[in-house]
Amino acid sequence: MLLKVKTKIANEVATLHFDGVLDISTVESIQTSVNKLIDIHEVNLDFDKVTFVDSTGIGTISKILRKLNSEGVTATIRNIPPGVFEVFEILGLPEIFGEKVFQIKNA
Amino acid sequence: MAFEKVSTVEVQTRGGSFVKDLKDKDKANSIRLVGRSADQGTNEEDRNGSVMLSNGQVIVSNPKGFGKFPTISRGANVEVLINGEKLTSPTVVNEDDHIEVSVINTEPFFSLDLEISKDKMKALLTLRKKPGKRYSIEDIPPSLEVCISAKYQQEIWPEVGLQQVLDVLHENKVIFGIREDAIQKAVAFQGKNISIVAAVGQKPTGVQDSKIVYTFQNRVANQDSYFQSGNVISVSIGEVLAVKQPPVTGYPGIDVTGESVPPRQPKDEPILIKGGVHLINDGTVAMAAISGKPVLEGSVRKYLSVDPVYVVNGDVGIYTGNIRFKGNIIITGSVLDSFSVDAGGSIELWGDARLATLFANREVTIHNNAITARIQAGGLSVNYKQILQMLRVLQDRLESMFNAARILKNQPAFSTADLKAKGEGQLVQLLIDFKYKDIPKIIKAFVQALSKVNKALDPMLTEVATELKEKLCNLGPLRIKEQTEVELLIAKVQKAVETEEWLISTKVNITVNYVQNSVLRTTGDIIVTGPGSIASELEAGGSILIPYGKVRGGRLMARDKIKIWELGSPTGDSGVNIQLLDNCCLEAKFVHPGVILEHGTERLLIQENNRYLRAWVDEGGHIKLEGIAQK
Repeated sequence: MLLKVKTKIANEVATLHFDGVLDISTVESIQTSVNKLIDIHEVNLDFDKVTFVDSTGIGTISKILRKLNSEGVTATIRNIPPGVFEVFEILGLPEIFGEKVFQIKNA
Repeated sequence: MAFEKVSTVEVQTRGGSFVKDLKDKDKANSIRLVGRSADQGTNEEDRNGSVMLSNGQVIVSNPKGFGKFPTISRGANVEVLINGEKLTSPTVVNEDDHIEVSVINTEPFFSLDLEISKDKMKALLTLRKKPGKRYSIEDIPPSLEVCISAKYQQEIWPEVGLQQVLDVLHENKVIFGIREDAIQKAVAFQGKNISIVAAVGQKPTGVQDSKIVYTFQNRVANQDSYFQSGNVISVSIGEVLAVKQPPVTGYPGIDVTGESVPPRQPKDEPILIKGGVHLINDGTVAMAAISGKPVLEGSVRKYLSVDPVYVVNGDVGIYTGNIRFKGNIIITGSVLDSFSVDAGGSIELWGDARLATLFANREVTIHNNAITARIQAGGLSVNYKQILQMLRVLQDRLESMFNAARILKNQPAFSTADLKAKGEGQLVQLLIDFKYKDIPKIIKAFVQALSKVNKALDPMLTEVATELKEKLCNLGPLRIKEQTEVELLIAKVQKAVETEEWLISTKVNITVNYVQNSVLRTTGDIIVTGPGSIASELEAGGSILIPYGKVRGGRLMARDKIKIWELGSPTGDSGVNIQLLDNCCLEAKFVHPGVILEHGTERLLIQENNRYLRAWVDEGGHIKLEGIAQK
C-alpha cells in the first residue's frame, strides 16, 4: 500500500496532505516531503486520508514534530481519523507534543 | 428373696396323739407338737394354758378352770399359719388350733454380666454373688405368751461352675482368648462382686509408620563431615540429611469373637524439602544440595532446607576484612573494631561485636557482648523501603505499559506488520519514548538505590536491576524480540516486590548477652539474655525483653512490650528514656528515679523507687502507671 503526499505552500505555511498508510514502507516519502520544505514557519500535516499507522510511522511523525519544533516551526496534525487519533492517544503523543498539535477529524 | 416351706405341722388335741405331716427337707426345721399343758397353776382347778416349742415342735395346752388361754406371736424368719391364716399379730390359741410354722430361708444367688468392648478386643465379666441364709426354730419353754422365731444358722454361697461361665461367653459369641485361669479365680471367689477380663483378643502386630530420621540432628559437631563453629552444625554438599524408613504393613489380629482384625494402614509421610535439599532414592533420602546450615522448620509438617552458610573460623578483622554474604554467616570469634558483617540471611556471632557493624536480613544472635556496636536485623532500613517503593511503582508502570501495548495492537488503525519484522521491542521503545518516559528514570534510580545499600542484597534484586536496565533503558527496548520477554520481566519485578515485602514485614530477633553503648534495631524482638543494656539505643518492631538484666541509660522503643528486670540506677543518675508507643506496655520489676517515659509530647519522670511498675498508654493517649512506690 502506498502513501501519496501532496504539498501546498502559501505564505510560509505548508500543508502536506497524506493519502494512504503511514507505515514502515512509506515513512521515507514522508521524511523526504518534510525535508524539502524551506523557509516555512508553519507546517500542517493533514491526515484526513490516512487509513492506518504502524510503530515505525509513528516514530517518524514524532521525529518530524521534534525536528520542526527545534527549528521553531509550528507543526500541527489535522483531520486525524478517530481510529488513528486513538492510537496517538494510547501512546501519549498529545501529552508530549501538546493537545493542540493533534486535531481529530470533525472535532 | 426366696421362701421355702420346709415343714407342715398338725397339732394334736389334749391327751390325744398328734399327727405329723412333715414335708421337711431339713429335720432340724421340723416341728413336733406335743399336746400337753406345761403352765401349771397353784390352784389345781384354775390353771393358765401354755405354748411350748421343743425340738421344733409346738405344743399347746389349754387352761384349766379360770386360767388364761395362751397366745403366740410371730418373730423373725418364720411364717406362722393358724388354721390356714397367716399370723400377723399375737393370737390366742388352744389345743384345737391347727398351727403351721414355716422357716423363711433365703437362697444363694448369683448373676453373670458380660460386656464386650467396642473393638471386640476385650470381654469383661462381672460376677455378682449373694449368699443364702439358713434358719432353725428356737426351743421355747412352756409359756402363756410365746413368740415363735427362727435363729440364723448358716450362710451358703452360690456355687458357680466354670462351665456356666463358659456357656455365658459362648452365648455371647466370645470364643477367642478366653482366660480360664481368671475365670476359675472369679468363680472361687467368696465375695459379693468380682470383675475380670474373661477374654482378650489379639491385636494386629507389626504395623510401623514411616519414620524420618534427620541424621544431622544426631551428629556431634566435631566430626570430619562438619566444620565446627562453636556449637553450630553445618553440612557439606552431598551429605545425607534425612533418611526415611518406609512404612511396614503388619499382620492381622483376632477379636474375642474369633473375627479377623485387619492391621491399620501405616502412615506414609514424605520427606518435605525446601531450598538447598535434593531427594534421591525415590524420595527416601534427602541430601544437601549446597553447603550450609540445615534447617528443619514447621511444627506439624516439617520442612527440611539448607541455608547457605559462610563460616568464619575466628575473628572478623584485618585477616578477613569485612564480610558480605548472601546467606547465613557464622563467626566463631569476634567482630573486631571498625569491621562489618552483612548477611542476606542470619548472623551468629560466638564472640563479641566491638565497635563493629552487623546487618542481617534475618536473625542476629550474639552469644557474647555488643560493645559500641551497631546492629540491625530484618529488612527495615530506609534504603530497603525506598527500593520497595521504587519496585512497586516500576511494577505498576510496567504492567500499565504492557496493557497499553496490548490495547494498541488491537486497534484497527494500528498495523503490527513492522513489529513482526523488527520485533516487539519497536513498540516498547515507542511507549517508553512517549507515555512511559518515566520507566527508564525509575530503573536508574532503582539501580542507584541498590548500589547505595551497604548490605549484602538478595541476589535476585541485583539480577532484576541488571535485566531492567539492559532491556528498558536507552536503546535496550529495541533488542526485545518477543512480548513474552516483557511479561517475564514484569513477573520478575513482581517477585522482587514480594521478596522485599517479606523482608520488611518479617519479624526477626536480635539476641545478645550484654549491650553497651550500642544501637540495636530489629523488626522483631530484642532479647538481652545476660546482665543488661548500658547506654544503648534499642528499637524493636516487636518486644524488648531483658528478663534478668538492668537497663541503665539509653533509649528504648518497642511496638509490643518492654519487659525489664531493673530500670535505671539506684543513684538516679542514669536516665533511661522509654518511648511508649500506643499499644506498648512497659513492665519492670525495679524502677529507680530518673527514668523518663515519653509518649508523643507527654513526658513523665519517675521520681521514686517503684516495684512491679507497669506503664501503658490509655485510650485518651495518656501515660498510665501502676506499681508499688517506695520512698
